[in-house]
Amino acid sequence: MDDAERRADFTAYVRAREQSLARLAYLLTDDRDAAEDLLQNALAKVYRHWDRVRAAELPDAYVRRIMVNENNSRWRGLLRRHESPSSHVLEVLEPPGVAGLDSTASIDLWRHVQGLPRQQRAAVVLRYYEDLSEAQTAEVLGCSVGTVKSHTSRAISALRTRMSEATA
Amino acid sequence: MSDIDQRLKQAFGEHTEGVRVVADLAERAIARDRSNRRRELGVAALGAGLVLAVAVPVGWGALRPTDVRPLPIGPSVATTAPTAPTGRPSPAPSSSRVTTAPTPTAIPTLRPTGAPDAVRLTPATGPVTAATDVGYVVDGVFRLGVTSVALPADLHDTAYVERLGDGLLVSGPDGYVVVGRDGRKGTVIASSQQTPRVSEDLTHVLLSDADGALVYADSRGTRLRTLPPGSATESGYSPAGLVGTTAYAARPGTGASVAWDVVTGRVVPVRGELSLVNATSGLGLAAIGGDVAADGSNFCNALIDLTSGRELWRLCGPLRFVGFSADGTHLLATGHVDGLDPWRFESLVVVRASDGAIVLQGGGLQADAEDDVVSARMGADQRLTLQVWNGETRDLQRCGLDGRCEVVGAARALPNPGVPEASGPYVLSDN
Repeated sequence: MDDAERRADFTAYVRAREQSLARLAYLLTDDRDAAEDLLQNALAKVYRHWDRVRAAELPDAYVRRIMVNENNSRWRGLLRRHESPSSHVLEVLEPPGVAGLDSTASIDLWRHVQGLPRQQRAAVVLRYYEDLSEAQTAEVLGCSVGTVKSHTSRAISALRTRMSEATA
Repeated sequence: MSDIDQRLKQAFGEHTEGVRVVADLAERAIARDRSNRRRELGVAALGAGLVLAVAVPVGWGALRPTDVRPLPIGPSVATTAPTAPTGRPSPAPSSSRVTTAPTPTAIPTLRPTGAPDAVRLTPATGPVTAATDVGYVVDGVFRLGVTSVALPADLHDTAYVERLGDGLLVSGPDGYVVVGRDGRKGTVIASSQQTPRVSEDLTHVLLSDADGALVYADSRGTRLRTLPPGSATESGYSPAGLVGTTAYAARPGTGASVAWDVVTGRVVPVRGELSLVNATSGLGLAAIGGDVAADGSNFCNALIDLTSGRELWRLCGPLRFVGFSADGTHLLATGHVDGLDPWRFESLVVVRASDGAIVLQGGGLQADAEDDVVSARMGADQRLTLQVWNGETRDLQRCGLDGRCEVVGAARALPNPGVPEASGPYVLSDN
């Protein structure tokens, strides 16, 4: 594959998957600037290794893994780039709320998710937003299925406790 | 499914519903990759964690974080007078000279936190009043003095150009391609890799290819020698420069480099990650690992005499070095290092090679500040050619070490305002 084909192929992939990847980035970071930076850095790395990513036949799994690793990197805060006001990649509108559901409770739960340790948060995002199995989540997080179970269970337990404390 | 499972799904759904991509994300990612390549060696010393993420990922395991592996560093003092670099290295240094040089007992270590005594850069305004002897591409045409080469249409938005043989080496959609004086495309040597390094006499070039192998090619683009990247999990080579028939290249993320004799094929390890090599002076600049401080104060680069392997000085601070002057007497750097907040140095910092002193600074402490220096080269006449942002457009200026400047290229708009990381409208030749 020459570079023009590679670029076109990568562009087609990004256009097909960008909304989904942007939402994952936002859930992992809960900040527009951080999500923009995470998304662009992760995709830049994917682009560099696009030949291999394509050959892996599961580019989404690969991209998710890069995003999670990138988000967990202790260098990310140090090396983050900020967009200028005119060059944002993402638009984030306030959640509109869903008719018939208690949006206050949802916002509270979201706030508690933000307080989880990064690996636990990544585990619940991958399990409950991306609908990945425990095995798939383990693959993305680079850990064992047992560790995923442990992360998820601790996260859920912490969320239950915080929600019940908030209710009380 | 439990109640909390459902509530989590609801919360995630609600909080992502309003998230939309509003830019050309693929284009931005490709621009970020290009930009990252320019920055990687500069930040390599900040830790293996960052570099790891760009290692060739042959398997999932290749993406897992590993421990930082700082290099051992010798004792240092702040007051020892450095010795001026000596002579030019032989074209093919022996292994003993490169690897077994004793660690100096007193390497001058400089830790500037600012440069209040440096000369201030004073960019000019107004129409073009002078010319530069640094080549550059603008509007798809390479210009050097009275010479001009119209590039093929698909190379008009190139981000890299360098003189090679009688023609040019230019980055394009197919990779690094040789372009003749008539503007015709020749051989594509390698695709989408680290910045190539052309020899001082313009006869050869050092590149890395798609697999991270190091490639030594002639001015027609013919591959003469290839050094494989090593095991599949290694990230390969990043070219630093050619001195005669010795090719220097870093192994990103390892804290080490190699000196490769392209005639005999002999490979000798070199300490530190070499990012820049100057053939005229025989000097190289290597990132040296150390403890990471959030303000970049322990981000160290060492100036090395390639002939003896001796460190001349070590400079630690939030500076990213971008090039040598043509004669090797100065180094160009920038204080605009992503993620460091606040920046301690401005967008252009000129460091004297003989003692590591900062002799000139300018361009402002803020990104996109007026007079921000976007790109810079320094000729053997010790005059700088700079692309300068003036708030709305970028122009080309020629400045002396006294800080005074003249406009040599008219102000032009950014080629793509949606991609502020783009290097144009002027793309300066690396040689």
